[in-house]
Amino acid sequence: MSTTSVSSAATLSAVEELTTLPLRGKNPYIRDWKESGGRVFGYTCSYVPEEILYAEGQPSSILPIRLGAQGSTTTDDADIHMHKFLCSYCRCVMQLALTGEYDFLDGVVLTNGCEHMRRTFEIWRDQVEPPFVTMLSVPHRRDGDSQLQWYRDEITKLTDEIGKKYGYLPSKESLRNAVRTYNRYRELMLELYGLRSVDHPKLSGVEAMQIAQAGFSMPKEAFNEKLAEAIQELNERPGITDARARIMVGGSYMDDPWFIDIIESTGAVVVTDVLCTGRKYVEGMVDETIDPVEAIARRYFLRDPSCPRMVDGYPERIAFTKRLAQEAKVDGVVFERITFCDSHTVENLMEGEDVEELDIPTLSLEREYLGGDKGRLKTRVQAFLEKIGK
Amino acid sequence: MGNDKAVEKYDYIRRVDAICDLITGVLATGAQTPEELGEHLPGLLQMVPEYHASLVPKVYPDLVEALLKPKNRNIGTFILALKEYMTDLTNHMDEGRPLVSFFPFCGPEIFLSMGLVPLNSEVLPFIIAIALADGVVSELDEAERDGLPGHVCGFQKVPLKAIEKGLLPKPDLFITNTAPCDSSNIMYQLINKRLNVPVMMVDSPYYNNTKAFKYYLDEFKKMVEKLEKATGSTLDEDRLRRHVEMGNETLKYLYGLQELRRHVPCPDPGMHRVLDTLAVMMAGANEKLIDYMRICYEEAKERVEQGTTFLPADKKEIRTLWSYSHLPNMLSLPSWLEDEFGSTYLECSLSLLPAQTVGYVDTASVESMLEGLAWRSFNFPMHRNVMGHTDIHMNDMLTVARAYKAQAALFGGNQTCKYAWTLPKIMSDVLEKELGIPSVTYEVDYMDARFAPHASIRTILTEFFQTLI
Repeated sequence: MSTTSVSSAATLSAVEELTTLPLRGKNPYIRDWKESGGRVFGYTCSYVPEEILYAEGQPSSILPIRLGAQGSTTTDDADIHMHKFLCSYCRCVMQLALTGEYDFLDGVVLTNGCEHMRRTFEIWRDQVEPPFVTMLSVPHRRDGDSQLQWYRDEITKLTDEIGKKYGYLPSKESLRNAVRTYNRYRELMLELYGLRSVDHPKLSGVEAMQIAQAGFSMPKEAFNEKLAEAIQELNERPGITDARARIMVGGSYMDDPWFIDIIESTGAVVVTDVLCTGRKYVEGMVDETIDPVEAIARRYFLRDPSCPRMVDGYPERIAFTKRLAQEAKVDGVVFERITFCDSHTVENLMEGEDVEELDIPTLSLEREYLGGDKGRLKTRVQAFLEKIGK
Repeated sequence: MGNDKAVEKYDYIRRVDAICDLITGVLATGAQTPEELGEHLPGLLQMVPEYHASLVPKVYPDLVEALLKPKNRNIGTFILALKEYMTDLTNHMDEGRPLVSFFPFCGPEIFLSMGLVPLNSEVLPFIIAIALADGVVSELDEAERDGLPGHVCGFQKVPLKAIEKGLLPKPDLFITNTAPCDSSNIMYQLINKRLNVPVMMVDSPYYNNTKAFKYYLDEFKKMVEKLEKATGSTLDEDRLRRHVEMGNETLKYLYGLQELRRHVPCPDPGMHRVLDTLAVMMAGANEKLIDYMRICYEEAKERVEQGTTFLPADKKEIRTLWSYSHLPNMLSLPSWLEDEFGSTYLECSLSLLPAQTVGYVDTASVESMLEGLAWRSFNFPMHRNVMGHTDIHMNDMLTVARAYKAQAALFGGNQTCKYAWTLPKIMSDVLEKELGIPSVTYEVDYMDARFAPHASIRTILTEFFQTLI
C-alpha cells in the first residue's frame, strides 16, 4: 500500500479507493500535492475554516487535512508530556507527531475546542517544532456581535500569519472558488448520508466513515469527483436488507471506524450519526451570495448543530439529533465518549434523556481512542440489541 | 416554623454555619494540642446545638490539630468573616431577595451593591470538603450514579445534586463564565436543563492580552446590564464603592503578604494559601475579612522584624512552590509539611493574584469600578493562568520561584482539571533547567479525599522531601 499512487488508484472503483485510502504520508493525494510544490496543513477541529486555508495563494497551494490518529498503537512518547487524564485521541495524535508520522506537514492549526486539544498546542509547538503552528481561538457563546467579530478576527490573524510566512493572501476569487468546492463537497456528503438512511442502506457505517475520512485527506476537487462516482456505484448496489437493527452513533471525536465496526459486527447497521467528523461536519452551506470571508465565518461559527463546547447550543443540538434519529428511522442510538471527555460525557447524558422521550432507546459507552476493550464493547452492544428486541 | 429560616432549611448552609461555630468554639478554649482540647471537649459539646455536635466526629482530626497550633490561629479570624458572610446571606435570603449563584470568577461586590444574595454554590461544598471527612461524598456518589463520572468536576456535580436534594437553595439565576474548563461549560448546560434555572455565562476569551481584556470588559458590563434586567435590581454606586474599597483594603494586605513571603525564612504559614483564594473570592464582603488579612500581614511582618519563625527549631527551611494548587480537602497539609520537613508554602496558582498586574480597583466612578473589577476577574486564579497557553502559568510560577527563592516544587494536580495536565512535565523541566528546582507530581481530587487518601499523599511527599534533606 505504501507505494500506491493516484494513477494506480485509478484502477480501483471509486468506493474501493475511498474506503482504502492509505493514511497520512502514504496517501498518494498528499504525496502528489507535496511533489507538485503544494503545502499541507493539519488541523484538528471542525471550527477551523478549511476554505480559508484551501484558498490561500490560488491555485491552491495549501491542502488542509484533518489530523486523525488511525493506526496508532501506543501513546508511550506522548504520555511523557500529556498525562493519562487527557483524552487518548489527543495523545495518539501527539504520539504520531512526536514520532515523525506528521513530519510531512508544513503547518498545523489547532483550536481551543476542548481542554485536551488546546493543551496539545504547546507540546506540538515546543516538542515537534513544525514550520508553522498557530492557534485559532473560538468563543464559547454565539449570541452577540462581539463573539462573531472575535472569530472573524481570528480568521484574519490566521491569514495574516500565513501571509507573513509564505508571502501571499487569498484573493476574493480564490475564496469564492474554495467556497463553491466545499459546498459541493457538503452536498455530495449529504447525498451519501441519504443513501444510508433509506430503508435498505446502500453502504455500511464503516464504509461511510472511511469515505468521510478520505474526504478529510484529499483535495476536495478530487474527492468530489471520486465521491460523485462512488455515489453512482453505491446506487447500483443492492441495499442492505438483513440489518438486525438501525443505529445512530453520537459522541466524542471519531476518525477510526473500529467502533462502528463493533456495532456492525453484531448484525446492526449504523445508518447515521451526529459526530463532528460525520454529519455535523457537513451540515450547513456557506452563503455564496455575500462576502466570502464573512460567509465562511458565519457558517463555521454560527452553525447548528454546534459542538457541546458552545454553551448556548443545546436546544439546537438535541433538535438535530432527534430529527436525524427520526428521519433515519433508527432503532436505537449508541452514544460513545472517549474517557475523560467531559463535554461529550455530559452531552451524551443530556441527549440520551431527551432522545428516549421519543421512545428511542439509547446506549452509552465509554471507550479509549485506541481500539482496546473490544470484547466488552461488543458484549454491551449485543446486550443492548437484545434489550430492544432486535 | 423552625425550617423557614435558610440556615436551618438547607443542610449545606447549616453545615458551613456549624463548621464556623465549631472552629470558633475550639479556638476559644485556648487549647494548643488535641490532648488539651480533649479536656475541654465535653463542655464544648454541651454548649453547642445537637446538630453541631453531630458533626464533630466527622471533622478531620488533622485539621483540628493544625488549627490549634499558635501559628495557624488567625484562621479563626477568617472563620468569623465567613460566619458573617453566611449570616448576611441567610438573613437576606429570609428577606426574599433574589438569590444569585455565582462561580467565583469575581468577588461579590457587584451583587451586594445590587441588593442581591450572592450564594456561591461551588464554594460552599468546597468549604464542607475542607472540614468534614465525609464532606460531600454522598452527593458525589449520587451524581456518579446518575451518569456523571469521576472525571467530571465535583465543583459543579455537587451543587447540582445538592440543589436537587434540597440541601442547597435553588437560585433565581446562575452566573458563571466560560472559564476555566469543559466540565464547567457543559455542566452549566446540564444545570440549566435539570433545574430549569437561567444560566448567564460571561464569555472568557482565550489569550491574556489587551484585545482579550477589551472583549472581556464588554462581556462583564453586559453581565451587569443583564443582571439588572433579570432581577429588577439596580446597581447602587455608593454601595458598590463601599464594597470595592473593602476589597481593595483586603488586597492591600494580601499584596503585602506576598512581599513578606520573599523573606527567608518565609514568615507566613502555608495554611493561609487556601484562605488567600477564598479571601480573594469573597473580597469586599465584610470588614472582618480585612481583619483576617491584616492580622496575617502583621504577624508575618513581626516575624520578619524580629527574625523569628514559626518553623520548628530543628528544621531547616525548604522553600516550596506549589506549582499547581493547594489541596482543599487536606487543609492541614502545609502545616504538617512545615513541622515535618521545614517546607514552607510560598505560593500557588490558586493563591496568586499578581499585585503588579492586578493592583487596585479605581473607585472614581461606576465605570472605573466595573473596569477594575473586570480586570481583577480577568486575572483571577483559574482565569489568567487558564485562558491561554500554558506559558502564562509557567511564567507566573517561574517568576514566583525566582522572586521567592524556591527550592522545591509540588504539583498536586486536581484530576478533573484537564487543562492542567500537560503542566507537570513543562513545569518540572523549566524549574529544573532554569533554577535547579526539583519537583514532584501527585494526583488529587479537590472534593473527594477518597481519590487520594491523606496517608498516601503524606507518603509521596515524605519520600520526596527525604531526598532533599
